[in-house]
Amino acid sequence: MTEKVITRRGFIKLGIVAGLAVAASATIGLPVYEKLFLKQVPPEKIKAIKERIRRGGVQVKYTACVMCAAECALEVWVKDGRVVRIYGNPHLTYNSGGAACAKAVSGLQLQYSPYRIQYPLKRVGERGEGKFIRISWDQAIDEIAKKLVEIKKKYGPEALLTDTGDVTDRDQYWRLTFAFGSPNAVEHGAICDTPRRHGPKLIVNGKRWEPDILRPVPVRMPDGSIQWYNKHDAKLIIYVGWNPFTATRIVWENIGTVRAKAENGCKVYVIDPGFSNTATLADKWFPIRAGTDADLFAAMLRYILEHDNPQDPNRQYINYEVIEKYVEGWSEFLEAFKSWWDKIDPVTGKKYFTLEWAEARTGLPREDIEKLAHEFGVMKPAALIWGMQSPGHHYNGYVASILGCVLNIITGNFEIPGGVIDTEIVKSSKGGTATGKQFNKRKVKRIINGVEVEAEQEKLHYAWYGDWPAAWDDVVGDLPRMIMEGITLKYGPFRGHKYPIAAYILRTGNTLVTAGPVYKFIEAFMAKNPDGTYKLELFVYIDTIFLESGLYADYVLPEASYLERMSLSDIYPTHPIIFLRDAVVEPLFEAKKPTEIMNMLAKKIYEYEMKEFGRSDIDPKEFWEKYKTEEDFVNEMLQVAPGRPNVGRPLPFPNQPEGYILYGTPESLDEGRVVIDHEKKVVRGEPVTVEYLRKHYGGTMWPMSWYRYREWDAEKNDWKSGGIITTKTKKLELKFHKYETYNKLVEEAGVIPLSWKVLGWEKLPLTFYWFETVWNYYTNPEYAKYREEYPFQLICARVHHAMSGTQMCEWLAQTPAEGLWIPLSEQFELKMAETIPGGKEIVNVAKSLPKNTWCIGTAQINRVDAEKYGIKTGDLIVLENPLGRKAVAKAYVCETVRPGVIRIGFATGGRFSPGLGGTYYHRLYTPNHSELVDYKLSPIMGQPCFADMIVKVRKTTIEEAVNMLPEYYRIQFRIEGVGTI
Amino acid sequence: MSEEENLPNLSEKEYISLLLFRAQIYSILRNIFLFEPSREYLNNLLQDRFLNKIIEVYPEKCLRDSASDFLEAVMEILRGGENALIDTWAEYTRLFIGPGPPATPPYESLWIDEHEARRYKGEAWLKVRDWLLDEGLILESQTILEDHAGIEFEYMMVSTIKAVEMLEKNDRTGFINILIKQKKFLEEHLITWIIKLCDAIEQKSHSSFYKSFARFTKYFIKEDEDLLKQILNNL
Ligand code: SF4
Repeated sequence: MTEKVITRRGFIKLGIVAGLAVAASATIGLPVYEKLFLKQVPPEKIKAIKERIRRGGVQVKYTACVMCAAECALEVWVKDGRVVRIYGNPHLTYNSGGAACAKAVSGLQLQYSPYRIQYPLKRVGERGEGKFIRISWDQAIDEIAKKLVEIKKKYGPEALLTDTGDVTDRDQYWRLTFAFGSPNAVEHGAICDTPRRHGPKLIVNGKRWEPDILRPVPVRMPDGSIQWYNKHDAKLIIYVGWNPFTATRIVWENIGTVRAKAENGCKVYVIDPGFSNTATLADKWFPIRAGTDADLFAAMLRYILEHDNPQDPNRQYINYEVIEKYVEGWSEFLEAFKSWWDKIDPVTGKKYFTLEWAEARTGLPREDIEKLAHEFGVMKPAALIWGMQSPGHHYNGYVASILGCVLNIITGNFEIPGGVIDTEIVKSSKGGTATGKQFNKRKVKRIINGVEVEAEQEKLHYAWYGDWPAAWDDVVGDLPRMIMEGITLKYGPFRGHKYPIAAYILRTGNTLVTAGPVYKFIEAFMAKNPDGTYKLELFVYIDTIFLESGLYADYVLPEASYLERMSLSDIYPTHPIIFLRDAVVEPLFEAKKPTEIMNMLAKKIYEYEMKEFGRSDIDPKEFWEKYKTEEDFVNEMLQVAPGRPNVGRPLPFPNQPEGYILYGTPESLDEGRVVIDHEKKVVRGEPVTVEYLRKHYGGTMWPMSWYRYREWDAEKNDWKSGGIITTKTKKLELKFHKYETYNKLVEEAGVIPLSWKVLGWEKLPLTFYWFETVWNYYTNPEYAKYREEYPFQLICARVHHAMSGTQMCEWLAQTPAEGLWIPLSEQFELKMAETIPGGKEIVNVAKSLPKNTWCIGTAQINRVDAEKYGIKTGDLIVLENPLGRKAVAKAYVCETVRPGVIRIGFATGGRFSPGLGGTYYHRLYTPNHSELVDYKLSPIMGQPCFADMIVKVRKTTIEEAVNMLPEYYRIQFRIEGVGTI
Repeated sequence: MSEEENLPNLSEKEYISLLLFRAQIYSILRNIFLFEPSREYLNNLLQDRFLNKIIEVYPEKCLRDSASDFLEAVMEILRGGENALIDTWAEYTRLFIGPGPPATPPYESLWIDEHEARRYKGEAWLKVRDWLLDEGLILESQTILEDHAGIEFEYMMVSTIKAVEMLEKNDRTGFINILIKQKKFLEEHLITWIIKLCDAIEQKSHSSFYKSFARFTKYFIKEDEDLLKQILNNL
């Protein structure tokens, strides 16, 4: 061909374009992709656009963070359509004191990160292979809706499980699921810390108990005005396995702890196998053995009961007035508790709940246990707080959680200034009818063994009427089994009804890594039928960032980031507060807002159902006709705010009837612009709206009060129980009436749930009970045989800035924490964002990061243990459990973890999604806790037991380590800027 | 370089011919950066007179060879049937979209090395957006950003067509102004990063279609910069 080559001019002269219609773009290849993206607009319009951009300069907007679940109020600067700065909101200081943490500021990196999901994707390879193609939203919605209707036709709508992960604005997805006909919509709570919340739910219908240290709080003054109360009352706070300084989702607790200590001389004790950041500030650290919180609490309670003396000011532990007037079932509880006192524990040979017994089990000196019990008894106001890392992650966390509540209640610390508050029953309500729970009340029919049965849709729930009748927070940890075996309803009207979990919509969650043994989840997601199709027929992953679970999804949908969508924030406060999460910029690429995704799916499902069934469970009036914008949806969510009774002292609204439920803006309630329904005992002011919140810097709050478990009975001129307590007896119930419903359900069916049976229970005990945790040879004789071979207890701890996927922000990936997230990396290459020293801009740097400069998830091991094994910091070690599962880690040798315990970060290591930036690179030598967890869920609530495991340890090499790891760690996704090992 | 190479004294018809050639190639670059190729489009490419002529007679060897490799790769996909087509789409997705970070992100903001943000909507984006605004051009939504390779090529294509219109209207000043702007845009934007992007595609892609396309793009950009220089020197 070369001989024919001609000059440029010759080329042009060839006249190959002769005869073409010049301006017709159709002639130059556009017919296939006819639409031009660039639009020519008239000069006037350009002028207007330019003016708008320049005139705007920096726009200051108010919103709420959700880089973690604390959801602090933020002030965001938008310039040129870009978010350029993220600060705390100085006008709404309730949570974070008007500040924003490093994680929030790193939101900038997430917002414009190359790791964001940009377009809808469809899997074209095998699950886990990471092979996707881009598709349009129309195609994605069409195919997903079609498949959902097909699944509905085959198995019923209940075969859809929607799991909305760890972000609180889930309502649109729940609404869609319920309207579709499935009651199976769950969230992260099911795998977070359900045993931790068990006691509060049983006793006060609540969830999480926190110290009353949110300050300042607005309170009603005797003259009717509202003033900021800014004084700390707390005298003692005991944090058990709770580390607000690092693992926080309740930011006011950090500030409050420091201030209570500094301003009120409050003592702070931390009980934890690890010397956490919170412990660094504490007056004393008690390095307890893992999994023995219930033992400590039981001993404290026994001590208080045995040593209480109302006549001795130094022994006045118990508040009898509270017990008599507001507690139900104390005497039965006491009797059941005392019935153990003379029994001998087979592990320690000591009598249950004595100081000696607790010493042998917890590893804490008996003097320390005595000190804790005594001081907690006398130093009022005090708060005993337990966290997710302790009761939340142990098989027997229920016992600890119940005992923790009892200790707070009988010492009179519940709901007093400086005492403990159940945040769940005092914060503002939100969601209301927007969440769509009303759809679950619809009557549906199923044919069971040839008989037609009709009952409410909610009775089809996979857990409550399946194997987990008392798991009121749902069960996600059992998903692998449910996918493999399907659901058989055993209780309620539909008992005998079977269906598979055939469709799984996962939104802002990462079940694969955070819901239990990772290998079990992969096994379930990959499981196939004999015909080669996947058992889980449809898996949709919706998120802004791409985590491991997405690798197994059939469809990946980009959701608007938290700076691009609107919803409401929930900060676990001690009184009603609500923040608006406003959309401060438009969604980037093809990311869509939840309301739009909901409407699109609803519409398509509706069309397919009309075609298939001639009718649809979706009512257009309940979706796209009703919610034209996300603001419409959020306004409906706000209709139930604050939704709390007018109770406590000082009474929040003295001008409104005491005990009535309040709805509406604080001003309208204050100024009496209300409608009162005396029959329903409801006061309705002007509704809180998005517009209203915007006018108030993005948030509002209603006054704080205390003693909200009682109401003044004017007729009897006395206090009566009630207020925020909505239990059956309206009292703090130490007789567990809540269990009665489940017992009845089980009794009617005559089938005892497996998880009760393993405890030897035929029904749930209505008062104090006791059982041991698992994989713990210090307390459970069943595991004694492992003691020699597996000498370490393995626990995990949260490093909040490095666990949810947000560690893909480089700033967070470089911020060490507590010996768990430490710069111990191997050398690697990464393109990353950095700030110029002294400058304000972020710059792009292709970096070769030398060894030990990047944070990775490590395994903390005590120096004494490390010396025994010749392990030094940075050495590669293998952790192996009795189930034969292994994880590789770099050791971090320290004094800050109890000997005999190995502590690793929760979801910091072994992360194998290419969406995790630098963290992905280190997956081969960082430990994934979920690789070592047993597939043993705690009874009653089905929570994965993340902190119940034992391991042995040895040194290893990287070659050996790589070979022993499961395939999914070894896949290379060849991501930009990240080399291979 | 000979007279013939320097393109002196082109007639109006020859200018139009040259401009349409450039517009056509820019439209191909635009299309392939913006979209996964359909079977129909691949067939169109095979038939494309400009591409075929380049292979046959174009003076620049690198451009000729890469165009030839490119059409060879197109044929290979067409021979490979449905699977080969889907693999090409999957490769497009992996290179330019993700999941996780795209292997070779097609955005200028992510390629400008010094003192720029390695984030979408970085300073480079701002400059391109402002440039386009000055040209009276906007994107109506953010589903794609102004500094995407495909949009920058679309701008080159659209403005080339505008230049043709100018010539047809005998507006020689307008025509020259457009070429000046194009040259500037090439120098300030395309040349600064597209070469790097194309090198990365060549290195990281598993597909001969994208590898050869990257080579072709790179050589065409360089060639076009030279063409513009020559034309403007002579005007
Ligand atoms: S604590 Fe959590 S919610 Fe608050 S600013 Fe930090 S990341 Fe955001």
